[in-house]
Amino acid sequence: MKKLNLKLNLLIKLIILLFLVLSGLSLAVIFNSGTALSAITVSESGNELRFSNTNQLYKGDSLTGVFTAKNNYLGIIYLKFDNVKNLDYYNQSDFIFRIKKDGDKSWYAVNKYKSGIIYNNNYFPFGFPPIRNSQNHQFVFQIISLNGNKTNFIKIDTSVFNFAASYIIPKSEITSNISSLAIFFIRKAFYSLNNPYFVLNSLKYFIPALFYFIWITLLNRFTQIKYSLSLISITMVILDIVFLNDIYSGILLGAVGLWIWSVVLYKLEYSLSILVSLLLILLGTLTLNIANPSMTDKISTWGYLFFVSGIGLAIYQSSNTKSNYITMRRFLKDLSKI
Amino acid sequence: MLADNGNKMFSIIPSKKQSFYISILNVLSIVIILWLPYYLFGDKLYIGGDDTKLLYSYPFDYFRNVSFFSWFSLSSLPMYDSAQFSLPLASLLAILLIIFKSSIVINHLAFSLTIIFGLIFFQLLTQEIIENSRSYRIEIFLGSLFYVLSPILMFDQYSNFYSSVWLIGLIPCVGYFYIKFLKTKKFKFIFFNIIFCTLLSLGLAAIPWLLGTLLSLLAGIVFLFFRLKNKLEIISLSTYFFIITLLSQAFWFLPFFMSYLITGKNNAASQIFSDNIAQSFNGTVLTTASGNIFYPLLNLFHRQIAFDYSWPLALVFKYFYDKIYYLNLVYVFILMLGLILFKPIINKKETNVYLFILIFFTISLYFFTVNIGPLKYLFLLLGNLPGFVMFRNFYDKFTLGFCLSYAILITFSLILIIRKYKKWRYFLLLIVFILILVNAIPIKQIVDKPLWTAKNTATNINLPIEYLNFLNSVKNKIGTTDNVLSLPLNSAGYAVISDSNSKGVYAGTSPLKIFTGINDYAGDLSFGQIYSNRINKDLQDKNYKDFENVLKRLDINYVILNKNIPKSVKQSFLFSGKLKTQDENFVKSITDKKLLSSSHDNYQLYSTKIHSSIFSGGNITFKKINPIEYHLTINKVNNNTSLIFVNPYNSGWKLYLDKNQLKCGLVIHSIDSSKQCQSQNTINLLDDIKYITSPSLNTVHINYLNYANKWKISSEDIIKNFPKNDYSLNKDGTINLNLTVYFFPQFYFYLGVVISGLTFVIISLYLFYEKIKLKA
Repeated sequence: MKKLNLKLNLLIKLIILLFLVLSGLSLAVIFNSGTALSAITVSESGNELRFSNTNQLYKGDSLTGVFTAKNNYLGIIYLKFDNVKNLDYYNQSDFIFRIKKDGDKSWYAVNKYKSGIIYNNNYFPFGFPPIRNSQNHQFVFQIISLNGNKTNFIKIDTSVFNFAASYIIPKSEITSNISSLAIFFIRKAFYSLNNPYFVLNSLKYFIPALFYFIWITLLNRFTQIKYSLSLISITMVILDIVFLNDIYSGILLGAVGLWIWSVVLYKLEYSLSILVSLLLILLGTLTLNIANPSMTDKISTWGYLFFVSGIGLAIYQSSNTKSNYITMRRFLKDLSKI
Repeated sequence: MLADNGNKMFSIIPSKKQSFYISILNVLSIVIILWLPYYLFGDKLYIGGDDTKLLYSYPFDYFRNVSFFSWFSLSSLPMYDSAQFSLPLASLLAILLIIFKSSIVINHLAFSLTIIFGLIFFQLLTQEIIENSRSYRIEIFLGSLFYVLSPILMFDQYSNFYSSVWLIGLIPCVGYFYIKFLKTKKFKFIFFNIIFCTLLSLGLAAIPWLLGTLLSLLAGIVFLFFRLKNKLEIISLSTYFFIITLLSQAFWFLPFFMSYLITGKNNAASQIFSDNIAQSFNGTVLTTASGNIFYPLLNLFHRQIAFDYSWPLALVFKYFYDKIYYLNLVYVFILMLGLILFKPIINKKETNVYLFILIFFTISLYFFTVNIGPLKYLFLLLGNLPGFVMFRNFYDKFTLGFCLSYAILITFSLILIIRKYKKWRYFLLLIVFILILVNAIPIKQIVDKPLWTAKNTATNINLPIEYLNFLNSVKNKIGTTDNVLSLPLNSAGYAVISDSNSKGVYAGTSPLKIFTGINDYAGDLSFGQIYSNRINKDLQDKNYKDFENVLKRLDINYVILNKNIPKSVKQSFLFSGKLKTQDENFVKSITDKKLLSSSHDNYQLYSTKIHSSIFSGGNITFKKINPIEYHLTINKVNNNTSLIFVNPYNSGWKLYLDKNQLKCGLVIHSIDSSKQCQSQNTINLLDDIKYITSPSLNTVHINYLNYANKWKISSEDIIKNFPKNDYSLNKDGTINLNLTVYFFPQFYFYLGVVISGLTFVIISLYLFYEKIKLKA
């Protein structure tokens, strides 16, 4: 009984420690996520974007976005672009960004840009003087291509969360008293956690906790239910390919880590990793002309990672001939029984 | 286990018969490869591009004006960069030119030889690494075809034909002799290796491609090292092999290496490791890393980048590979099936080799693709390693390693599958053979590609007689110390020469230097960043006065105007941006008299309005002996005389006091107080030894105006430190001096030749001794 209490005590301490470490890391990410400390960035839905033609903007084409400001001091609109070609200055196209309150006749801010500015800067921040009383007002912004052509057009990413609004709160207002400071931090944390990109990008920090959680609580169940860990890993891969546009290292590390764990746990032969890799490569190749490029990239990445894990396991298992590994055939047979 | 009985169990055709059939197939293949350039380029030369490829058609000119000296400026890419690696091949081709008497024949032969070397040495290498290989000669032959006919190599190597193309044969060649040496410990394999390495040293000097392959091999080597039992023996044998190989290459490697050690703004190292190149690493990688692993696995080049940059390859994809690419999934199945099957089929020794190749392949696939999730950022991080920036065009530098590893792996996998399912052997081999041939169908469209976006402009051309005659007249008209401005300027340092009888153009590094020894400034790249920005601004602002100042500063006294550039090329990126502003008014503003005109008036030579001299700073008479040696007499030197030498600054240029009076002969120029005698263009090794062994004049040598060399000479110092017969004293206290300006790093070439020669002699003597000992 005493032993059990000691274990429980240690476990609780470990969990608290992990929680603190993760909270610290998450906070570090929240307040170091590329925007000013005093900025609150709110993710908006891409469903509110309207294209005059397609999401590739040629001469005269435009994109119009409408959204309601969640805070005062609206100062930046982030818009997600697909990468442009690296062209010299003279061959880049020009485009303008403008913004106004819905209903206003004149534009509050109009700025002209060269398409090259988006190069390697896909989530591009369009800045303007902060609008003091912006909260709850509806705003309209536009991107208009002035001379885009086949070579130098700009292209807007069409994923759901492809734009965000950022509010630059004056430092004097944040630090005026303790309650406004606390409210600011809570709001910042709240909106960060509501930002899917932020959450997905932060996943990698949770991997140790996830693995630890599986180890202390679910491992027995996973051992009992044959290949469950492998199936979870593969399900993660499928879900990632189907539902997520971008690549998140947290998900990659998590799924590959789970796969390798499952291979060790169930003593699976390396050939199974090779089979998964082969299936992914087949899927990727056969859908080359159908799938969108980001999905193709994703399948390619997964295919390579499983291939590498297969090679690593082949090296390990080739020098460790004593163990009886579960072959690909037996795995598939067992799986069909389940 | 099974492999031990491999010979009995798996050979279907007896080894001897297989060897006979394979010999016939190899001979047939070589004949077809020899015919291939005639199919691709007809009776035109395959020339142009950054490397000019003129070495393969005009080896004598290349030898004379480029290969021999450690200092050369090819189309004014001003750098101390040795080019002696091209000497053996230039010599061989020169001999072949004497025999065949046709530039076209040796040009086409050079093209074929790169493929033939690859075909033969790939087979030799795989025969050494696969056990019981005699039973699998057909598989190995197919593997070699898979390698040399890879669409990736076709596009990246054959269609560019940089010097790295020789590595297609040279890497398997070195691998083969290395393994043979490890197995037999016979020095004759080192000897054969150094012969091939010397002959193809041009390929070895393609350092980024070579290092790219070695980098992909590195993890595999570490793995193999830990798996090997006789580590010490391997280390000592490897040391012998590679040290001797390196010593044999000293004739080019030593001057090449020294060019990286000697500091200076204009040496090769400073160009390659410049901030500009370093800063462009991330940008280049991020914009070009758009591929995926599927196309390389299908043995195809990255499709996306071809479309992103509108390369002619995009059309080949559109009309051909996009329709058949899924057939190449057969390769993926072979690769994966081999991998799944390998464990029970092969023994421990073969397993190690197989895993080594797998590691080599996996890493080269990553380096060739880069765009693999977060691994892309790992590659960007690697960009912080010193020198790693050379791999910013990863899709090019890692191609050879990828193609070689994939071909060996496919060969290995084929053998593994056939060992397991022997009745499928011929069916499988036939499928693979057909696939290789089908993939090679668009070779003409890939290799004989049009000039960039100018779809109807071919790149193979015989240089027009009009142009060659014009160059000959230019050579006779002006001195080789004068620089020439080639107009219209373009964004590279290219010359565009069009053939009136065909749609072809030569678009490549300006050949003026190769044919005449005269250096020209042909484009943005010729000027270096500082002057390039300045002339672009001058063009934009129509500030032709300042443009003339730049010409004066760079010792540019002549202008060659090319009036024969096709419209399609003028509309290409080569003449985009500010370069479009070069109009007649611009030409008129900077030129003086028309001196020469070609037979059809397509090429004209003008003098510039302001004249300058390569040497200035006093009362000077000078004579160019060769590109690394100038003799001069400088009169009335006082305590504060400056000697300015308008050649890109390098600390390797040294001043020597000469006791002999300059024999001027004909004076061809007289600008201000500087007289130029007719150039000599000779090499006197005794003179060279004299400069190497005697101390140079200890004066201050500085980089003048970010470009030229400037020495401060003090008569007081000379009077104090040198005997009276080294100078003549004037009544006014000034002195007259005979000086030699010599590029000292040429010494490393001579030293390298001695080291290489000694290496060959010692190895030959050792082999001779061994033979005698064996007979006794």
